[in-house]
Amino acid sequence: MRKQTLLLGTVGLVFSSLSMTSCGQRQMKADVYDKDNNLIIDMRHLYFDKYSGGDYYQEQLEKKFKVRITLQPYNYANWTEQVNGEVNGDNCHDVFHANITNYNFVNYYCEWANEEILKPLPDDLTKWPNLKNIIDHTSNIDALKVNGKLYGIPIAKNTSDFSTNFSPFTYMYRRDWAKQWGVYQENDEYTWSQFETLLETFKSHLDTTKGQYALCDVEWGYPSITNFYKQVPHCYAQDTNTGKYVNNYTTDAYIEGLTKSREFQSKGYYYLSPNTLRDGDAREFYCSSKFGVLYENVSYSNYKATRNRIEELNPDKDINFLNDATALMKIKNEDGQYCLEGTDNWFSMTLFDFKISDKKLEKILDILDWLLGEEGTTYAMYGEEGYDYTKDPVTGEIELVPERWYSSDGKPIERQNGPKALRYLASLGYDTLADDPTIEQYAIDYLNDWEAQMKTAYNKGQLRVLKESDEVMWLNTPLKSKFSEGMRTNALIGAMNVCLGTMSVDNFRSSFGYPWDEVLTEINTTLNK
Amino acid sequence: MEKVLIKERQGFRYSLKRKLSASRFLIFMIIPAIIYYAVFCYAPMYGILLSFAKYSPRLGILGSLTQQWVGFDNFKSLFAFPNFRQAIPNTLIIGSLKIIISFVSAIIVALLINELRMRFFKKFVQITVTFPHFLSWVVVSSLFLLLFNSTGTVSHISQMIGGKPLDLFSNGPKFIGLLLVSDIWKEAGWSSIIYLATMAGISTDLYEAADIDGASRLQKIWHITLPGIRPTAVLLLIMSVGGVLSAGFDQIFNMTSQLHNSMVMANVQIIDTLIYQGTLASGSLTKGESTALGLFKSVVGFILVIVTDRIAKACGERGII
Amino acid sequence: MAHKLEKLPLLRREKAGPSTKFGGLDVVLFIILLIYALLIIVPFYYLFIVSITPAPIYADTPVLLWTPEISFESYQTVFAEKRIWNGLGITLILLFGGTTYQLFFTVITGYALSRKDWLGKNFVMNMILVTMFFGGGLVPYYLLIKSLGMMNSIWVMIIPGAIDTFNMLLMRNYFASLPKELEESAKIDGANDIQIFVKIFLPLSLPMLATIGLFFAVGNWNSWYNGMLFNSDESIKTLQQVLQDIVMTQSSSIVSPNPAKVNSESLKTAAIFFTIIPMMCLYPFLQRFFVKGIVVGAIKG
Repeated sequence: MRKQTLLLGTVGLVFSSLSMTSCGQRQMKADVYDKDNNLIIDMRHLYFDKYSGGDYYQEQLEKKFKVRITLQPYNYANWTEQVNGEVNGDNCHDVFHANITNYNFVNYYCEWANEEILKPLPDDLTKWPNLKNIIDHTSNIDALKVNGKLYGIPIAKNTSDFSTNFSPFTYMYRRDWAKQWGVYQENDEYTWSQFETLLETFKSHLDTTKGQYALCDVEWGYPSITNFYKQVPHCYAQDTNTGKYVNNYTTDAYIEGLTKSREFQSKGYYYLSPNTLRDGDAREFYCSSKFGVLYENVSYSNYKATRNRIEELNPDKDINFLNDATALMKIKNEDGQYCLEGTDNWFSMTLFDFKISDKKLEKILDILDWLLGEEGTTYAMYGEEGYDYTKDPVTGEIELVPERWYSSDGKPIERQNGPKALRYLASLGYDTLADDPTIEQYAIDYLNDWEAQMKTAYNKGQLRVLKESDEVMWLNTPLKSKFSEGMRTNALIGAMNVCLGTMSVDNFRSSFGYPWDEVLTEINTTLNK
Repeated sequence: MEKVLIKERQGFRYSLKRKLSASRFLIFMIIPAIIYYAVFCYAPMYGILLSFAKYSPRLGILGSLTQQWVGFDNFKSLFAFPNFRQAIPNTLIIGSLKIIISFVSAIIVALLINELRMRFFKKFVQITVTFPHFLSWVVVSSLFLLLFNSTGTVSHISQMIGGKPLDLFSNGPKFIGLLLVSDIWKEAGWSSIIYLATMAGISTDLYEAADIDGASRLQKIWHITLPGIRPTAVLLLIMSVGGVLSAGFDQIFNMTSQLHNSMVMANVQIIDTLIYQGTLASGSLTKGESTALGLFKSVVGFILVIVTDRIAKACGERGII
Repeated sequence: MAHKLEKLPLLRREKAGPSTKFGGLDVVLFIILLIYALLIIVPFYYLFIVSITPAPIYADTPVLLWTPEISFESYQTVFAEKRIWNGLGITLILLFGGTTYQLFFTVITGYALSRKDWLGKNFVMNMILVTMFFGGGLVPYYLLIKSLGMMNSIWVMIIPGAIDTFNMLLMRNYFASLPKELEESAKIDGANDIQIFVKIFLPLSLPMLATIGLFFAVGNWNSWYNGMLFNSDESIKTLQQVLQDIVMTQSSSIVSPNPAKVNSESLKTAAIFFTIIPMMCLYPFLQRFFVKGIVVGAIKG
């Protein structure tokens, strides 16, 4: 038996060493060309989910730049897992896409940059003015630089107005119900007490045995009242007296908001079971008239999707119903202030595999820059001149060819094309939204109007933007990097437990042991607080 | 003297040669298996060494091992990691509860079916209760979610008869209960098969003798059937002890990943889900730490099997090694 | 030999013993087991009812024993979904190709290891047993799959499954349980090991082959893990992966052309039902094979 074990070990070692020799240093990727001498570029991006490649417009683009582009989408449900698998397995696509929140920023982006998994952009971007323009305007761009270099393109949310510093995370509600049951307030403006009255009224008219509830948060937003009412659920808050960073979840402001959330849940305003929602459930239920108020990220695409779904489910209703069913609510705190979550102008990044050649990177930047420029934008949005649209030679006005844009019943056709999809590598497309012929004008106007109102309020000092301070958000220290994500997840689960009544507030307060103190000490020492 | 030795050696060599040639066809048949295990099981095993290094994809595994050897640092930081400290008791609790409950439930089901006398109904029950074993956890967890979430069917029934809605998915212990129930639902019938077979193998003479002595059915179960299946039961128990640290990745992954906010994750985070989630999803474990965790699991599992085996042998049962 | 197998019937005991009177205990047993069987059946029944209930009715009464109005629109939508058929195609390839492949390698390995005392047998055996406990972990395995060029290909769901150690041991135990005389007499007649295996042992072990083959088939039908880790290509997702996509998120769920009539719940249940219906239909006929295999293999082991 003993001899056997020895033998076994030896053979195991032999095999191991054999296989190890096969995994030496990484090779750079050689540029590969197809038979027509086009450079092959391999991309994978979350936003390729609606477009799988190979249309006429992409072909034209490929001809123009002498490339061939292969596209693959990530699946949203396990996006991060897929990216991580590729990175650790040394299997990255030439261009890929990662969700860089400030919680995984260090673990992913910084580590990958240091490990030379990512290829940095050239220091001098003047060759690509359109791209440079976007990058220069991106908020907190310096935080993204590792050793002075930028390792990817942060995908801009709003390239027409870079100054917006709040997210459109807000409440959508059934104005028609509010009117019907007599709790509607002028201009959708509610104070907290009016909001609670509205919820109470909704609750009394809705039937919980059919799954109907007054209020629900989108899956990732629960408990939104906590954020909205007082504080955003970030790990670190600054103590106003000492200037030191403290645990945000134990601050009085957060606890106050949390208590409010608990109250809403126990009074039965909130959907009974926020923890069993699957991705997309909350919106689906709202659309099927189960909820009166929905907390949601009201970006254009989400807003439009909600409207489409409600329209589908209520084929016999008119446009006024639709507008009432997707009204946005503005809630004022007691101090007369609105409150919104803060945001940077981006939340995910297009990254480049370190192993691709400089030439390939430049080619990709060429394509992107062209797409972001006037000519490329027009091409991405309108297509081919003479086929998709005609241009007045004098005024330059664009006229669409109807049969290419509208189906026989007069409805606009949802057009996805290669250039449009590729543009998402650098911009979420909000800059072109206003000119997009297929969008719903009411929806975009309504959202713009909401944003303008909020901006006015902000300028007047009537909007509180909740945001972790930048110096701590992008701080890269060992303990913070290692634990932040887990600390936040545990705290949010604790908060949910408090709301659902399975944990007391006192227990929640005292549940923050290791590694909170160590991390806070580290942060305060590093920042000299 | 010397000559004798040489002769012996020749004899040894001769028998080696003959043995080789006699078994050449069998060796030929085993070659694919050797290749398979070498490539898919032994080739990646060098990865265990990553437990002692800081892995960097840039250097590759060999480079990481030679340039970034860190000794036991990965284990140290792992043991200090809050999620690890959570996962160990979770794994042990869920794993051992599962072993005990599936062990008991399988025997009970086997006894029930064994005592049943209606031939056709027996067949029907057997077919029905073994069926769920063949469904994937993707299906079974969807089914349980549909039935048992707070707005699901069972919750509605509970409300209709005046009770409270269920909250299995926000309460750790209750959720573990649900895990156990779904495990029994899926596997108890199937696990009972082997006991049924053993029961069928018990000599009928024993029962006839007991009948003559006027024993009741319960007495017969207690004094004949249960002792009859004891060797099999002990054997199966030892085999399952090795899997206590596995505790069911498939089940927990599918039961929790469908939900966006898995509040119970802290209660059901087991070693395997931690490895998956920590390595691929949240990145909270470095590659070195996750490999160290895997190694930890293997070693402990191995030790557990050996220890149980020794204990069983000491108690006079047949072991497996 | 064949009669020896039949000497292990599960249903023999009811004839034994003089106490064949139908007593009160039998009634209790009957009721308990009936409830148990119902607990297994009812969820499936309920699943089916949800899948055929029109959306408005389901919204009003989520607890249904029977639906006043039957609509098969959810099934029509599921059948119209390309992803499902594509997934079914991939799963069928795994089911037939993969099962044959796995069966072949598992059986020859099991046979070789069941024969007495050839050089290095114990060593190989121990090497194999070690792999039941130790593995290299996720990252090296990922690198291995990549270096074998199996990323994003259907092979990754077939090739790494060549030998299932547990089933291989079942097979080995079965071969070892067959009488030694068979081999010895054939050896005297001058047959080699491969001939003995093909001509004598294989025909004798058909029931066992059926069992192991069925285990592999079920495994392939339910396969999703390797696909999830190593495949990103939509076109080679297995049926279970497609199902996972459908039930996990609303966004990648199926869209019905008539959403007012078909709700997402009935679509999901219809999709689940679609994946279990083949097994439900076949299982009652195949059950005895499954049972026989596990009994023979394990008892002798």
